Amino acid sequence: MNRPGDDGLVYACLTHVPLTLSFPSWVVPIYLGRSQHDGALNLRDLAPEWDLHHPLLGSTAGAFALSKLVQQRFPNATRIGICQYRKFISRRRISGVRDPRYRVMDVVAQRQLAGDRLDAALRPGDASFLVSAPRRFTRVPWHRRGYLKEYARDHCVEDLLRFTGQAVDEGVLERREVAAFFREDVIVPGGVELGVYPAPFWLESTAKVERVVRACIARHATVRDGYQARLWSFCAERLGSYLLLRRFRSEVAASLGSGVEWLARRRWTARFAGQLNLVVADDAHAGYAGST
Amino acid sequence: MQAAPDAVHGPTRSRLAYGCLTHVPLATDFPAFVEPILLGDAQKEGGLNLRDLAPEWEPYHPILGGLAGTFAMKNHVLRHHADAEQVGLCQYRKLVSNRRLSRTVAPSYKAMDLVARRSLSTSLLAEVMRPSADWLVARPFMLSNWRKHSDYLEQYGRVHYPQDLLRFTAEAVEQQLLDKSEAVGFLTEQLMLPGGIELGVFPADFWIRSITAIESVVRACVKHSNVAREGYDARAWAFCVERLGSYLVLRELRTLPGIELRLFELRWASANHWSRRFAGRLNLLTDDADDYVIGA
Repeated sequence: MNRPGDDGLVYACLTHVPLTLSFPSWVVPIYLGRSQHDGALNLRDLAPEWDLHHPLLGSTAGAFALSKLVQQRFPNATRIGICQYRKFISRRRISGVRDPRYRVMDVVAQRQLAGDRLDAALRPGDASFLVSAPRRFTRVPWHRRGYLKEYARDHCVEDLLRFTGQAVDEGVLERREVAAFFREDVIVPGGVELGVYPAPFWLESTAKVERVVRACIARHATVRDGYQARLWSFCAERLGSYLLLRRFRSEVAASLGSGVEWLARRRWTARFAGQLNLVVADDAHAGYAGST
Repeated sequence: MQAAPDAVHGPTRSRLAYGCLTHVPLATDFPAFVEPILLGDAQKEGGLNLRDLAPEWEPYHPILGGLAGTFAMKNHVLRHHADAEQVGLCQYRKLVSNRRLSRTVAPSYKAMDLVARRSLSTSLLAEVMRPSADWLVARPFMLSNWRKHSDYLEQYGRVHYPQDLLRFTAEAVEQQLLDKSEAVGFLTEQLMLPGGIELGVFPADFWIRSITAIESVVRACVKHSNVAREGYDARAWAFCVERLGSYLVLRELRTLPGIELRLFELRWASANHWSRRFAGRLNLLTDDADDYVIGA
């Protein structure tokens, strides 16, 4: 595998800063925001519609750009991979050092990825899906959490309410699914924007997310400051995660005991989950602060 | 316009402003302290008309139903009963009584009794519609039962368009009527007070404050909404207000002393618990004991 699209895999790295890692030649960088430059694959060229809205969307805009790139240049792709400038999914653990604040993610020092190691770490092998291990929000059974409660704690809850309303309008969620979406307690970090996915599933899911985001932006002129600026991206991650869970659960539905959530989760995790990694410059990492 | 009746009912009773919202000629002889608030085709010269009290909401009567009349009642109270201590609301065929008037439960809505009009006299109505405490609300019921979990969102999504409730809730959060964790509490609330803040008797300051805030939320929803629902669901914002009103009343009542224990279907409340002090019974007035057709 030397070039993007080899073996049917189109793997992109989304970045809004100059890349400091030496990504293999089969990973195609897509530049967002200020990192865009002449001669590169830029958001403004691939998906000009979303360039203006990059502040509201963060790397989600890059996923929409990748969708355009795949449709235009790699119509025969069988798998789509996405990493970000400092986050990626590997099949196995690399550092074994958990992020102190975000336990599902490992912290990997840049030097641990020197030479061909990053290439080896990014290769998904023959996995159809390779995503982060899931997280459960609920810690104690008598205090159940879920997407809505978790979102309300960390973000502006009205954004998720409006986004979900739009998802129902767009037919992405069914009317009766809204309560299940809000109660969903398992999240796959990154949703459909971090990892490797079968191309038809990813293109379809990304098109759904894109449709909802487009309608939200058209309808609501909400602008938030600081960390909350990427409001629609936070919502898109949850919707993507929900679409993934729906797929994973249907994949293991035929197995005995698939109605038991933890058992089904164990099965699909074993089949589809790898390790989420955060690349840091050195070993002195205080903990993931939630920015891109 | 006719002069508003004096709302003072003797030295021992609090000042009560009571409105009956109707879009049809009233077929029930309500007591003198109940003032008809006229909507739609029922409006007439000299009446307390929606078009005069709240002209802003007159064009929206078809999509808001009785809710437009509730906003008119709020303006009426502010203008003509500024010293009211309690505000009461009934509708042309629905009222909350302080005791049960019949044992005929509406088969399709078990929180409501069917009462034949001919069995009611004006004096009986005057007696049962008058609150004996600060509040008189319908008896609440649980949406969940031992077979299934339910809450406001689940139940709304089952019978209406959930996106309307989501957008309405978002607006209520934006306007700080609900804080962000309360938005979750509201959507997952399992106890429902039929009629919400639009049927029964409430302390005037609470009611004016709440309905003013709700009116502002509805105003924003009507303004921003580009979706027109057909038929029964045209009244989406009114359905949302019933739930929000229910939540706001419960939120207020739950701050009062009193203990309630629930174990599945079993319920026990202490004597000072609000449900034993303030809960009456919702009634549907019928010409004969037929069933309730929702939305009719």
